[in-house]
Amino acid sequence: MLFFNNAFLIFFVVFLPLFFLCKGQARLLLILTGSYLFYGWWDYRFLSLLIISTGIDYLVGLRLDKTDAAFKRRILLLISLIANLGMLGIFKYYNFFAESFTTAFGIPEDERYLIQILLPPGISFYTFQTLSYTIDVYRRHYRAESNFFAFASYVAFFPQLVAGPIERPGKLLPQIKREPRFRFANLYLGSRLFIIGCFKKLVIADNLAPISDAAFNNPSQTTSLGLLIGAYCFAIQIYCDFSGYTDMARGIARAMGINLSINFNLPYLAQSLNDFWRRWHITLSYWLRDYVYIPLGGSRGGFGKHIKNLIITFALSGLWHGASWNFVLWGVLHALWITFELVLARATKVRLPVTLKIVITFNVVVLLWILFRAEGIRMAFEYYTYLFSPAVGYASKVDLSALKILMFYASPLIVFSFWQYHAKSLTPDLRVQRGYLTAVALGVMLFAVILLGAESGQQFIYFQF
Amino acid sequence: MASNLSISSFKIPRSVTCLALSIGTFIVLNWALLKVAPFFDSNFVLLEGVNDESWDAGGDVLFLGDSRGHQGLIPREFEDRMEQHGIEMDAMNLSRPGMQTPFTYYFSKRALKSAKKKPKIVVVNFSFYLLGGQDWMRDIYWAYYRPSLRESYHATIMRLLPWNESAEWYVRTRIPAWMFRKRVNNIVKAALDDPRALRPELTGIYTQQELSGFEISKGYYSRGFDHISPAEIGPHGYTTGFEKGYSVYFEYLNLMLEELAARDVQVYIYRFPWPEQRENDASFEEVLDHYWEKLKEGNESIASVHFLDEVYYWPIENFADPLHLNHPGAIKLTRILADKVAESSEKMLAEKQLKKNVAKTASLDRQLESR
Repeated sequence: MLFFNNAFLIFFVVFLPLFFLCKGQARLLLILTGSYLFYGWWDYRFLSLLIISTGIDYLVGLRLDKTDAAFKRRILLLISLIANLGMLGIFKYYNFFAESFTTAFGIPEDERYLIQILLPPGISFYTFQTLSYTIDVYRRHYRAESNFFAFASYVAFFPQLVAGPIERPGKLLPQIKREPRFRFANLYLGSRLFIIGCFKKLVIADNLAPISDAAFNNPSQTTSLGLLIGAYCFAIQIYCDFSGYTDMARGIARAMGINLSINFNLPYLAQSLNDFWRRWHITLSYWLRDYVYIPLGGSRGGFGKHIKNLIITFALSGLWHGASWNFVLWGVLHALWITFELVLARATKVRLPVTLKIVITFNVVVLLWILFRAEGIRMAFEYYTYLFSPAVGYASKVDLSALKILMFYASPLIVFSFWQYHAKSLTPDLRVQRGYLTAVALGVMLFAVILLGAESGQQFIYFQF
Repeated sequence: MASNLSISSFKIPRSVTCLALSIGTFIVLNWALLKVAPFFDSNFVLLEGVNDESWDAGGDVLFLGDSRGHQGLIPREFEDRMEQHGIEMDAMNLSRPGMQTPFTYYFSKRALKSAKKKPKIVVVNFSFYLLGGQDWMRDIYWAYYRPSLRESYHATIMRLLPWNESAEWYVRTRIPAWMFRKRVNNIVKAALDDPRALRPELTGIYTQQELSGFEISKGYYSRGFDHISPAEIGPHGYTTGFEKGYSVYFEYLNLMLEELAARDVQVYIYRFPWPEQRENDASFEEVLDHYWEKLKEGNESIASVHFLDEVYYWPIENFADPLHLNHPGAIKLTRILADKVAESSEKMLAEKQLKKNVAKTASLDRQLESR
């Protein structure tokens, strides 16, 4: 079920009144049933993994809470890690590791053992969410949840189940357990977020997708300018796709009176790559910081160790995104550029103008997105090669059309982002004329979503992760 | 002293006002879009004449079929010709491009239900290449024809559409922003690509809208007087088997004929003219005959259904393109069909009269015998 599909809209129209009518356990059961229905809509068989993961972490959490023995606690944590990462490993990474291993050791193709398996949507998201619960309970940052329905609803909460934000138990669980009160303000603000998300996804991302797809599908037959436009289109597409999803998820949750975390904060206006990661997919960045980077030692222990920890964390971040070497390389290159920024900051006192820093960072991000979007490292290098030394010329008339399309669809985003940046607020529009102008603008935006949205809405890019 | 009875502390929450304002804006924009749509969307122009029931005065004769009928049958010409036969009849043309049997059914039903003057005769052509596939329906009818709730439910139970698509059809055709999405997206891309190339297209739509008003042409759309050249008629490229897997179209056809028969409506199914270059092409004739027989299967026995078997091959001067007639061609076809219908009506009338007379004589005989 995609948020902008009719099936979801019907589902939510039925779900929301019931959510406010039901009390206590009945309401939790409703959230759980709704979430499982939402997830099972893709393929009911995927539910089994979600239920197994939920069951294991629920039991492990309870046991952890009751046990003080350090060894026992470590074993329990290990059980949770093995179960969750094991499932992730089999369903997402088995073929990647098997292929890498057999290629490295020159095993002939007919002797390789690969499995035909579908990647369950959002497995990386809910695995990280349940892991954060177990680790927090293990660290005694959070008491184990004794109410199974509350815990299962936290794991499967449908607005953020398949593409985040990755919520910590301390933030989401109490909100799920709290008895909600219907407020028009929540419904209005939720609708606002939802419509903005739909605009980003359907009007901007899905309309730019064909241009980036054309460039990435056939780089050898595309001009330099065409490839550059393709890369910019993908940068805007992936931002609007993912942040659009997050806005929709936050809007849906907000209508229910639940606040989900902010996941994006004008990432393309970051002044460094380090800054970028504090603005892009914030909940993942903080997850990796808290559960990987800091336990590894963070920036303590000297510059060399700091860099090593950065590279490990970013390589894992790349691997989290996709089971392929291009994602790993993408993560590592991000770490290396951050290292370069750190070295530069130490070695020189020269400070570049803010605008220049933003332009440089944005272009580095765009160039690295090529590695992210390409199907494999070879394809990415082919793209880079043709970008600088094209097979069919540097520019053509077709590029002008593509550029106009890019400008047309990206312009609302650019204008709004600069407004947010200068107002130092992600919601500057709420201040305008006591909200009435915003209300009219929202009506216009809803109209634009339906009128200008791509005819066939595409699956969210981050669902594959 | 002011009475405190008139003072209320109730205030509408601002979020409710804002929500109402957003919805209001959305409605106003949709209304405005609907008003300008005739200037940029030709498919909308085609079907709005059906949706808005500007034909509600009705007529004795209803033309149904696809673009070939839309551009090939002239109601006023038909009426004049019938008058020459001494028959006074009103006609209207509800043929529209890409019309497949489900919509000949829905249109005939709508005309029978809503028209002040109910049709007594239906003249229809089924282009064989529309007995399969769904592209036309998807692009025109499911996108622009506003079904009633009953029609969208009927489409589900006939398995023309699954329930969710059927519900979407109902809603989509009532929200202009959704209805025009595909067209507007195409216009935006064309305008960004080459705005100058868009102008003649939009002008053409405006002209079409001007010409196709129901009050002007009663549903007929003229293709003018230009004709094709022989070079434009290539090999036919048709095959048998379009109908495979689309039995739903024949189910609709049977349903339509049964329901019209139940209301004593006479149905004339005719074969559309082809350019004479197609004559003596054995493989083409084989295809035509194949589909003609398919249409006849099980329907030939219905007394009120008349299959007009003649195949017409006409000179290129009658054709606007290899499939469609130009205005002189349309006049020719309309006259031929009017003659056929008149002849058949006269025959039927005579038969009816004869039956009446026989019955009268028999009754008189019985009366005499009883005396």
